[in-house]
Amino acid sequence: MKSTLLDTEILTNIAQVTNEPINLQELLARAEDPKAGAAVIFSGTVRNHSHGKSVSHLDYEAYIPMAEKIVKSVIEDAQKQWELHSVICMHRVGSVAVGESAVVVITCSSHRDDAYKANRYIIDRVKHEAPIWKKEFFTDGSSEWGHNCGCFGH
Amino acid sequence: MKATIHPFAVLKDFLGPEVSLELETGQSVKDVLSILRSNYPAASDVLNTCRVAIHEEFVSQDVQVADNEHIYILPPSSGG
Repeated sequence: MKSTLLDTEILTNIAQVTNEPINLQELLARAEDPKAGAAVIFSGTVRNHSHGKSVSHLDYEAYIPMAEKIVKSVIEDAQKQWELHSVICMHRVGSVAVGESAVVVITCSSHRDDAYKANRYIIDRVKHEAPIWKKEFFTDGSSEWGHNCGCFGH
Repeated sequence: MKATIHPFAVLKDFLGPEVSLELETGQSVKDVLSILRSNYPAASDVLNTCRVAIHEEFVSQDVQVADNEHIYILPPSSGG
């Protein structure tokens, strides 16, 4: 339940798709809020293996205007359910190397319970709903479109 | 009546970067998908799993297509 003290506060709320490498330090600085006692950071990074093969990099594609719209709406839904002082979700498009962040979610709240729950909620929904796709490139020269979400009709 | 189809991700492998369709007045998104399945049979399975968006909103299959519409066909997400 949001406290009335916070109702008129300006909330850092960023939903963005970017072609540039994600600068985690910079995002953390933007998320900083003296009201926050907890900052939870999720970074989805490119791992070096997938389907038993060695990965060289991932290419991300998005229908950007809708992806940003949907990420923004997921963040807003999170804000309705948990008391967040700042919330950031940034997703890459373009080529992302092994070890690099493809997506970052930062949630800051007074106490950690809200930050943890909101963070998990946001990444799960963004992965499921945002029109963003990855193509996996393997070291053997082959490539394959990713298929995280086999659902239809959402 | 013309419509431009914008496929994404794996669907581009089957349809190319963009498809122009000639449609009859009153045809729906469902009709567009049928035409695409017919013209690109190899894309049928993928098309069956796609969401469709017009003017940056998801639309249901019974929505009628307007002249010069831009139709975005989005396979299941694999972001994150």
